[in-house]
Amino acid sequence: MLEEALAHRRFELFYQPIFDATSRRLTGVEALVRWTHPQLGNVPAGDFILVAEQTGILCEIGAWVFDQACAQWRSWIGDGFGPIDVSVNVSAKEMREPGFVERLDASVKRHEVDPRFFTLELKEVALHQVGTWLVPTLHDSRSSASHCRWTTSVRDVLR
Amino acid sequence: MSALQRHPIEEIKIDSSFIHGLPDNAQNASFVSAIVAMAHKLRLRVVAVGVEKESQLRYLRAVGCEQVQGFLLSEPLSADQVTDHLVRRPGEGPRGVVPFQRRDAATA
Repeated sequence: MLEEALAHRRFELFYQPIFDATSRRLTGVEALVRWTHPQLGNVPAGDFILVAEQTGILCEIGAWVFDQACAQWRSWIGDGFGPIDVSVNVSAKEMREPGFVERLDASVKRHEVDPRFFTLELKEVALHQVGTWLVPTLHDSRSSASHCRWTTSVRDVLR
Repeated sequence: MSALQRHPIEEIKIDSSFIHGLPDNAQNASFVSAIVAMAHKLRLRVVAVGVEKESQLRYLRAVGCEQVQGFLLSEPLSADQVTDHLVRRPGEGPRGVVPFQRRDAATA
């Protein structure tokens, strides 16, 4: 069913605005994927990501999300708006997939985005799952992924 | 926690479960102020997630949290709705940001 949704473009990105705590100015957005189900309506990511992970389609959805976020950033720039920060969630499973860095690079190049405005967001627990080598490797490489910022959630840090 | 040392992380997000009880829940308040202090020592930026009340935002500002997200300021928006809050780029001007006002506050 998720495969069909991907094929029929039934996923849509929404953007959770991020504000400066003092000025309340919009500084960026976190991209959130929703699945528009023909019967169920809008299904938030939390409700289908686990299934996506089990069925092996998570990486394809992740690739679509990052590419779509890049396309939207470029579209805003093309329309004459100033650049904003865009944060995209990535999972450990995605990061371990062969070609992860290459596909980020491909999206960055295809849409001519400035990766300094992109943040890759991952759960702290994912940092353990990807091992100590991956994030520093990305960071040290010359890939555009290395120019993305990395954010982790503190939810699990204190567990 | 050790993973923060090993990876080139630049920003941390404080989960909404810590924000929920602010500012009255003493444990939440202590955690959040400690996390922000730690993050700043480590030169990490901090974003608080799930901010729903003015009192929570006030507390976060008081302890130095730089950025927030949550229903107090906005629910998730479509790309078109985000566009409404962006400003045109004036040549080489500053980053495209505009003050955000809640729709209900604006009409009140």
